[in-house]
Amino acid sequence: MTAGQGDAQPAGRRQVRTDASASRREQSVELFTELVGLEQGSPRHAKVRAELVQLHAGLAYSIAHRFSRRGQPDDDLEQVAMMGLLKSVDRFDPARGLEFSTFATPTIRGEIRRHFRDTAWALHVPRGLRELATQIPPAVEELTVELRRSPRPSEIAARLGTDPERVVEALEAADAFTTIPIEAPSREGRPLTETLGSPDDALARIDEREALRPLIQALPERERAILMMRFFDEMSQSQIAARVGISQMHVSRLLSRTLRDLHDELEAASAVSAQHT
Amino acid sequence: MKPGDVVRLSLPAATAYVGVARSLAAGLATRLDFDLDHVEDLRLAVSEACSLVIPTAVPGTDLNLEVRIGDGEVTLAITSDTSATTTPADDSFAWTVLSALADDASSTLAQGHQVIRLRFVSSAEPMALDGPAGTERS
Repeated sequence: MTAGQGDAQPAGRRQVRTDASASRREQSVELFTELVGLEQGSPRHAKVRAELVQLHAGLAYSIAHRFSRRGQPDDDLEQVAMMGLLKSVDRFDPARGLEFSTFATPTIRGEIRRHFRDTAWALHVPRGLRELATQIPPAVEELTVELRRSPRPSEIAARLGTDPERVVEALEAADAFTTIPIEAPSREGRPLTETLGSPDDALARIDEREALRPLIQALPERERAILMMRFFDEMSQSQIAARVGISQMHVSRLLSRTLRDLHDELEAASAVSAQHT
Repeated sequence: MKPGDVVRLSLPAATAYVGVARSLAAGLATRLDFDLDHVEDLRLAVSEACSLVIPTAVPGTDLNLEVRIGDGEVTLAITSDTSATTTPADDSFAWTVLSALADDASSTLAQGHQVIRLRFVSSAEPMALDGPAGTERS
């Protein structure tokens, strides 16, 4: 009863719209029925298809406009919506008794969402840390070459079009979960020994507890060379990276690991010698 | 973050906590926009300094890390209560590493209190990228 009263008022307006949409629906059913019987690619098929798109263009536009307040130019969205409409026309099967608009609406929306995801959202939605973390090393490589020094986080952020704080977080995250590849490729063809020279001269300079020397000698060749270059030749990590042919981040991780290993072994060695005395 | 600000961290003097000290120092330097080489140097230096003081730290005492933000630089002070009777030898491995990493490295010992002070300048000057890579690219 109350429902009937509520319906009564707009009934007049609805009547007009219903007439228009009823005739459009009729026309649509007619065209679709014809389309199904036509050979794909034939001139008549193309014509009927175009008429259907024309007939339902209003649906595509109205969906496009519902999305238009999201920073995308309207004509872009309209075009994307029309693509969705075209797909719907091609896939619609009138024999299933479904209203065309019922079928087309989710398809058109899906098309617009995909468009947002591929374009606008890529700029506005914060990228995952992991994803950012994977983009940082190549950016660092590029910038190191361009700037002839290792880049600052602000410079990396500018290159990747993101916030410096995001870069800081991603760098920290990368530090936490990246593992060192067992064998990173070194500059092809040239044995490391040839490029680097002997570490013995540098070693001779440290008058260290006897325990350390054999530990350094026992390090893998590359780790030992990097250690020497950094601490005895005072080369920067980027210089070492360029010399050895691996990334600066990789140099950094190798150095950290080498120092940690040396400390552990030194501790173990002194524990053993303490036992023996 | 501005010159004169000081960040302090107090941790049990045990190796298990060294990573936390590293992260703090590196996190600060990164946010101060130190270039990545310097950030990594800082990280390594904190590890080295901690492993230098932890073995002689008085059991049950804390290790204190203080990072003082300067103008284009930071100064780290790692302080411990120690049973050591001498400062690390200048030619020891750990000290060689520390002085290579930091722009200034000093160590003091007084009344069972050891302080390692390290200064890092955030200079980001272009440098010769030595070796085969540099020559290939030019």
